[in-house]
Amino acid sequence: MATARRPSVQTMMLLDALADRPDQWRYGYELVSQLGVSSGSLYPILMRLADRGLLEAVWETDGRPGRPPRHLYRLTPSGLDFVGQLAATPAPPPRRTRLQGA
Amino acid sequence: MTLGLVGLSAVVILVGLVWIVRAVLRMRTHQGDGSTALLSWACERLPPERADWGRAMCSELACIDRRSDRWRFALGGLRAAATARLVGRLAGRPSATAIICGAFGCTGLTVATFAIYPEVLAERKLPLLLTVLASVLVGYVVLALAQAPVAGAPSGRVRWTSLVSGVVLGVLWIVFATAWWNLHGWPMIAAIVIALLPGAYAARTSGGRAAGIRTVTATGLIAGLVGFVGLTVDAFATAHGPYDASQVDQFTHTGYVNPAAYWMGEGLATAVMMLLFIPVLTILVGSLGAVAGGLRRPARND
Repeated sequence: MATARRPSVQTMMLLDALADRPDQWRYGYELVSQLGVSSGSLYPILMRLADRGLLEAVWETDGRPGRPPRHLYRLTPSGLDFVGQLAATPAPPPRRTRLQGA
Repeated sequence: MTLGLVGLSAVVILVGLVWIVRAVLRMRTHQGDGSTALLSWACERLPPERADWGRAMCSELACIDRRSDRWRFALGGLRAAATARLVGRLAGRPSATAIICGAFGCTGLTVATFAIYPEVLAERKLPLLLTVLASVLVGYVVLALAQAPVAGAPSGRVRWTSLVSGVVLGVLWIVFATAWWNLHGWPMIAAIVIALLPGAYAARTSGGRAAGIRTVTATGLIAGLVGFVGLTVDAFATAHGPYDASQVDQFTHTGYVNPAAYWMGEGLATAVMMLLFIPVLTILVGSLGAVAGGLRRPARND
């Protein structure tokens, strides 16, 4: 049986931010600003979550005139369940280094 | 030799400049500032299944006003697009992933050789050796990325054929080249015969010579990388002897002070030669297998 890897720190931050307001659609740049991560880190995470069915993405229909419609994101019910499971599972202890063990 | 190295470097720099100029000219066709042009250019190169994400990043950039924030977002988007593009090319292609990882591994082993045996750096033929090694490894990576996925392949089986057969062939070539056991030429004969199989199998199960030849190409590249790693590791293990009489005699005429460094250099040179020789022979022989495998089924348009 394959062991599920715990998501990265940045993925956890994103999941927590989205789960905090589960009914609210969020913009990409809004998440970049809130989490303090770069777009180069955020968008691959968004893509992976969407591929796994944990995130839904839609185009906005009532954007600002003169600007292209933006992508909006929020967690799916599966995504919310996943966040709940992660919260219930304790994080693994930090690895001991040789110095720590001495 | 120095002239050759300079000439090769000039060609590489020229190709790089042409690529950069083409990219800049392409960016200039996009409306907006530099950050918009850069991100649009990067997102154009996304695979079709990621095109929506590219448009999402571009539309997000359009809503950022501050110039420094725009550039920061665009550069991050460039990284995201490059990652998505590379992952898209390698998804479901374990052999291509193995070839790229193997190329980096070979580079690391070469660097380790120079770090542990710095006397090798004084070798007169080193520039040529490094030029050949760098060119071959770049060629390996380009071939790995350029090959289209095998169309219509049964899930898993044909995709893993190159990887498994490449490792088997690589080990056979290592056994032959290092002569760990007195097997004479049997490992080489086995390698040549087995090289017929992956192409024939892929051609039969995927319905075409083209699929067979792509599989054989990946097999040859993986076998070459395995051979390089094995021979370099063997050189590390045996560089300090014991030496036979012919090795001692050969060493005394080299001018090297340290026999271990000399034999490590020789081992590295042999490994580089195998990096060229193994895939060429495997692809030549394996293509015959692919043609034969394609003949067993009714002809299909590839």
